[in-house]
Amino acid sequence: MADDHYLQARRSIGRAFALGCLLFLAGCATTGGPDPLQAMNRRFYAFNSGTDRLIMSPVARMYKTVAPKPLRASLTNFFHNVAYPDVIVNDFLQGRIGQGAGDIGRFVVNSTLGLLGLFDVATPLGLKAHVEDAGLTLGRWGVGRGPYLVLPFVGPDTLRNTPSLVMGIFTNVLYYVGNSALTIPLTVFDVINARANASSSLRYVRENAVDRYVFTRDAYLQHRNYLQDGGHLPLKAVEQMLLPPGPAPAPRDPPPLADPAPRPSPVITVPGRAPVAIRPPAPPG
Amino acid sequence: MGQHETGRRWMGSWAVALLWMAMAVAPAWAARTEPAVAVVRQFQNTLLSVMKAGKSLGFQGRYRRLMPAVRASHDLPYIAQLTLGPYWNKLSLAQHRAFVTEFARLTVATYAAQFRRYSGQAFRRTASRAVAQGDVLVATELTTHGHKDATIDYLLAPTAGRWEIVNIVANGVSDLALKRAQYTAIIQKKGFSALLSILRAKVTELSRGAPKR
Repeated sequence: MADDHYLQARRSIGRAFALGCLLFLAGCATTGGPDPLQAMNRRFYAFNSGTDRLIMSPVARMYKTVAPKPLRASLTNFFHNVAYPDVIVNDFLQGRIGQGAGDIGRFVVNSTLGLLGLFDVATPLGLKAHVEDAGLTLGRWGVGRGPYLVLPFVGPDTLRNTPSLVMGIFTNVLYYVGNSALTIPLTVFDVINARANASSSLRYVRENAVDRYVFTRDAYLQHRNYLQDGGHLPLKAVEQMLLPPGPAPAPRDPPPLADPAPRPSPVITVPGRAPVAIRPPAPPG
Repeated sequence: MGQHETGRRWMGSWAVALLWMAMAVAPAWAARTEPAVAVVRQFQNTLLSVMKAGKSLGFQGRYRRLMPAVRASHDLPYIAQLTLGPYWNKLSLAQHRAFVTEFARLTVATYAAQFRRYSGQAFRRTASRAVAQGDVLVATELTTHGHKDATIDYLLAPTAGRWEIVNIVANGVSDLALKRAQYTAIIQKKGFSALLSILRAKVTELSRGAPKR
């Protein structure tokens, strides 16, 4: 989703803190349900929402006022490009040789013809951007997703995806610049720029969600599954959603895209519309 | 050389056969999915027209224009039922009606809030195919000035003799699954009445416009 880069950028600030938490979390990790650490996750979610409301959101708004759209677009391209070796390394770790070769081409073209990545000249040439990271690589290798996590300053994550926090540091070109007077301000700009880019997505969550924590968690987990499957629609899971659940008691924490029981056929009405039998047989032809 | 030539002829024959099969099957396949595609096309055209007039219409105007379009294209009672998961069967008929009413209002209010203004958006239909249970999947892309913003897949089911949208999946995220996860979580913690109140409050909030953050 549009938040992919924002999440990556937030990681660059939250890494140190988050990694410290991981040792603790690894001990807490249990099986059963996608969110066994919900109590702790909700606290961190509230903390992240608070810091966003108080700090990141006003800063991002100010940044959008000051920086014109073309400048922001170029900075987005630049930060995306310096982080792109992470995609390339994970392409090859997943055995996606062709995709890896194409992504090397994308990185080289954008770094040269695209003036250090400020302009995305590779996409019009057919070298499309891909999303790969250590979490997706581990998933491809068969490692289980582990519990859902909300990490302070980082946001939604899963235990399997946490190695991305480390790998993202060492695969970012800025790490090898070796001049902290340059890389620290750039990293701060990366986070602010990414937060500004995520404004519309965050607005979407605010407008659509009636429980923002659950909405964010399920959207994140579904989207990660989608990426894990190479961007293919999880048709089987989506079709299973169309089967209404039976009288089974509600689970404590229903997993996203859970398998429900066979559907009944009640008749209900919507005001202003004739009564409709739910899912009658298909019309002829 | 001769063997090479034979291989080419063999491949050529297969290509012709496959092409013939594709031509024979394609019209039937298209005829099967075309009514469902037409529903999506009409709904997306309404969305675009509402967006283009979004500012002058205001929230209430967009809501009034979208309500009949959503009712005509979405199987709201069925979607509403699915969003409550196992709790649906525990509710009375009056509660079903109350929930479907609020669900319909929230669905339309959400569209009216989301599609508030036009800045070069378009929908591009990429594919359509029949899937399990006699449903049809219509794959589309939302673009802005020709650049892809999101993949939006519509799942349509044949209901009472016509095709209706029963789920929308954006970038692999099922709207139905998201709603079910939230609604069942709220019922579990606070009960059905609280859910109804929350949905009503959400519609009011959307009608006033979300705060900028």
